[in-house]
Amino acid sequence: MRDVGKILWDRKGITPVLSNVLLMMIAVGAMSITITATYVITGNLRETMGERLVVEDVWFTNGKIAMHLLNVGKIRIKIVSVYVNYTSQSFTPLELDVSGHGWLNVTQSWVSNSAYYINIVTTRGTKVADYYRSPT
Amino acid sequence: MRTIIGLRLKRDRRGVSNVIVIVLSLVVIVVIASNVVLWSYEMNQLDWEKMKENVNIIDVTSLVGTPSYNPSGYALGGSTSWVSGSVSNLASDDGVYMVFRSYVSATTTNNFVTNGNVTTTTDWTYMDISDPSAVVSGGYSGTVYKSASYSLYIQLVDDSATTAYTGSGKHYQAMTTVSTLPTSSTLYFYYRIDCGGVSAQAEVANVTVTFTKPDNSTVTVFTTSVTFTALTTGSWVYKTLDVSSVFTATGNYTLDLQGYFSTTTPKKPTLTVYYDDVWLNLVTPTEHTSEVEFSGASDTQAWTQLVWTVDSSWTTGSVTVTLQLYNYVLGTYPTSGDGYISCTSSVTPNTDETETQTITVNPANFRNATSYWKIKVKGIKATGTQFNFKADWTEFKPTTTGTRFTFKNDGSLTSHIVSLWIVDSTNHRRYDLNIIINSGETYPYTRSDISLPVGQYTVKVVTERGNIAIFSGS
Repeated sequence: MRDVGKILWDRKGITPVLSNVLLMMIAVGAMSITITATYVITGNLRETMGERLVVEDVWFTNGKIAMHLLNVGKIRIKIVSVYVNYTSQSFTPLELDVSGHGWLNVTQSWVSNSAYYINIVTTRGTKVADYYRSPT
Repeated sequence: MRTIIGLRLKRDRRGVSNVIVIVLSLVVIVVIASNVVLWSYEMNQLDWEKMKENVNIIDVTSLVGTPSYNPSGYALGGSTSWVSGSVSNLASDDGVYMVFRSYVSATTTNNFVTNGNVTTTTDWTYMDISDPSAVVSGGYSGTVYKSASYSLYIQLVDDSATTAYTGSGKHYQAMTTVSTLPTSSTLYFYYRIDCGGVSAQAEVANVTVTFTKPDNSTVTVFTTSVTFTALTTGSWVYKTLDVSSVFTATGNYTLDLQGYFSTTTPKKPTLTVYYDDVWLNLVTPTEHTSEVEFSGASDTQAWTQLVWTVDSSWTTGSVTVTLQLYNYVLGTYPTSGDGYISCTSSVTPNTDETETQTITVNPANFRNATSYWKIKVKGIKATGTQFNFKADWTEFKPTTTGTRFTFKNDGSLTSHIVSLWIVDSTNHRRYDLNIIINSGETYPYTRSDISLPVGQYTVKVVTERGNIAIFSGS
């Protein structure tokens, strides 16, 4: 009976313990949010840095320009825009896994023996651009 | 003292908290920075490796062609024998032959003796060989025989107590003409010698069998003598003689069954020689066969077609000829279809004939892993006469396809080629590749399914790092 009475009497002693526990929980939560935010923020940066794309071949065929792309980077890529001579063109959607390859077909009439500046842009903003001469 | 420290810590709580916040912030910043820096380092390393990579295509060669191959060896089938020439004579259709001789592949056995069992008193002729005292005679015995109903006998009757006799006689038969030389000949007969009459002291009887050949020469194939010192009734003796060496030429042969006698002065014996169940079996060929297997090397490239040719002749007409090209997938010589040709040679002997076949389905089945092939030529004719096979020209001619690329890694890093492009004005074709080339290594790479286009073309290879090597040709 005397012990119970002591605890009830020492209410001020419990308050520092609770406040420390709460402080720790808040600190851990804040750190978790911070680290998660860090990975989210840097993850996008890393993905952008990890994109590498190679144009293996460009084929000027009837009414279209076909480009064979090879993903040599470390992240899956998706082509979001294709510009021919600085003009956006419609194309068949293309996504490439790491080490994946495929044709990117752009519907585009072309003139023989002419240079075309083709710019391929990914969703993360990576672009591969070069001049390609159409066959004679 | 304890009281003083306790009071200071209590007073400096804010300072500790600031330190903790700063340290944690630094940790977060370091994590962020290291994450980005390490990833950047990794990608930079990738870019550096790509820059240092240096793969080149140093040669592109089309393997399309029609190389011609001839035999480099041969093997004889059955008892076929080589006569003349060598495999070098098979390289061209020039009338210079490699010659092989056929062997007997089927025979028949015939008895050339007529009435050898002496069942009738016909077909045999008796005559004295030497009988100065007219004491020798011969004929058909109807009382003493091995098998019914008669035997042949030759007899000397000594009926004088003061004279010793000698004499001889024979039964002979001109046999059926031997038109085909036999592969083997066997003579079978029974003989028996009796010594009868009054008595005996040293009476001699001789049994001799001879053949008279077409050139009138005589060959003795059996002779035996018996000296009687007492009257004796003989027993039948069966003889089997290999007389193959006698029949060396075709023509008419005569079989002589002879008896020779000599008696002593006082004994008055009767000496008799009997013959019965005479058989002469001649094994004569009815079919000859020539079988030769030619073999040679070729190549291990991809083939779209195979043409094989045999030009040859035979020293006899109308030989049934089978030409077979060994199928290594089936593990046997085909008996129909691709790899099989059957024909009959010209009626006119020594006529060169060319047999050829074009194989377009799985031509590579007709070579082994080391590119060797073999052709079997078999000729059969129902004849008793040996003939020769004259091989003039044997050719194994595939149509090859494919392309050989030669890559060289001039960089300091190992390269991994992942794709190959063949580009011309009408087509851009990509092939998946998985080739690892060490630094400084030259790598020949053959693709049977790739044919270079006609005209100007470009060959490209792409590495895993994204570098592209280009070769232009025409």
